[in-house]
Amino acid sequence: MAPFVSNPSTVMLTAPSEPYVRADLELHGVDHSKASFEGRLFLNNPEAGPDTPTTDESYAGSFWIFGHGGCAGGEGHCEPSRELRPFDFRAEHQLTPISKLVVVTAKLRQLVPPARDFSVRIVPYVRPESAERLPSNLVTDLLHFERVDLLAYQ
Amino acid sequence: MSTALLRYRKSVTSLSPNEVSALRLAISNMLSLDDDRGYAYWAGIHGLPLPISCTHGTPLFLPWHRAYLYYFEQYLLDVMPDGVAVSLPWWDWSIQAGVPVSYALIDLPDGTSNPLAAAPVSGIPDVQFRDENVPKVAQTSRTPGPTGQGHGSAGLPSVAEVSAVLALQDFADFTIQLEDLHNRVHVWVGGTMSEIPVAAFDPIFWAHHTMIDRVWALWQQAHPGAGVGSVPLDYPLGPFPTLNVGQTLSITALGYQYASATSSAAAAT
Repeated sequence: MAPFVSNPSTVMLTAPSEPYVRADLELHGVDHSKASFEGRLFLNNPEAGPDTPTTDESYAGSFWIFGHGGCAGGEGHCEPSRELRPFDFRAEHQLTPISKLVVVTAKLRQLVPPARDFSVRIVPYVRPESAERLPSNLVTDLLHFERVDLLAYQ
Repeated sequence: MSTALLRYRKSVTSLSPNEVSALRLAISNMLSLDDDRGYAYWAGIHGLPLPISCTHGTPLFLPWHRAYLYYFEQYLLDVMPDGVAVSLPWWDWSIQAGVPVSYALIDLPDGTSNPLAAAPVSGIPDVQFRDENVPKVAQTSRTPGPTGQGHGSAGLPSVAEVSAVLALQDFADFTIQLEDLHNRVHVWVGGTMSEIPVAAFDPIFWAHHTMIDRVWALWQQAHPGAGVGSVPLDYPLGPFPTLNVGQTLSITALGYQYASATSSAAAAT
């Protein structure tokens, strides 16, 4: 058992230039193979980490991953196949990366002027009570995703 | 020909003492069965033993879990004595009261263990617990987060957050946001519930998912005719051979409804 080690990630986006009624941060290709965790989003706070409180002004919301908890099978069992063969009608692999969505409308309006670049700091957080009982590989290097999109609705 | 009556699923906190006793009897009776009618078998459908069959992160999340609850409830009914009714209750975590007393109490007044507080984690081959996945445990456990208002993301989802999800118009939007509240509750309960491979062994799992199913049912009432996005209605819901996605869209066709009001009741122990 080992303490949880956070691996936050920062991406740059641009705020909408037109007024919007709703703004979502969408994470695509999110890995969920390890421990369950909360993904905290901070705007324009590239130094945010697991100790940054969610009462910080830069906090915009969270998503939650219900983790697969590691691999119970043999070698290769938990590796999603890269290509779907013709006539393969099986269900998607359990560990196919997923998408997450966090509505950040109010905070984006508050912190980022129209058309301005801003950073999104994504901080994975595992509750200490959970981290203590899990092997270290499940609570380290948790955050993997393909991209983050900002979707604004007019 | 007899008239088929719908089962009414109620809030955990609205159950009478007799209804709580009936639920405990049903869970105890399923726990005593070590074949494919038993608790361990049905808990194991969700996660371990392999194959892990639950569906998360896709539009199948709600239909699959509705089918899962339906099958589990049928096996609960099977183990009840004649004339004693049972149905799955929902745990309304949005009221911020934490794990309901009827599920939190470790020992009952008669000295027996409360079957709603914890259950054995069994039926999983040792080979499926490796050094690098969830640890083997004999019994479920919980490490609940803070209760009451004002705990932000460390607390349970609020009434306002559930209302915001219910107000969404599009199924794809609704299911992804409802699933996120669902994930948050799993993480909040902690312990066994926070790990997919063993979560369903915790008896609170069923009350949590009944709440999720209820929120979907409420959303369906407000959006008549809404389907499940791009998922074909004839998509099969394995390993529930008699149900496909389309068959999960009507809860009355599945034989149950959700009680619309929660009356007060004496605290059940």
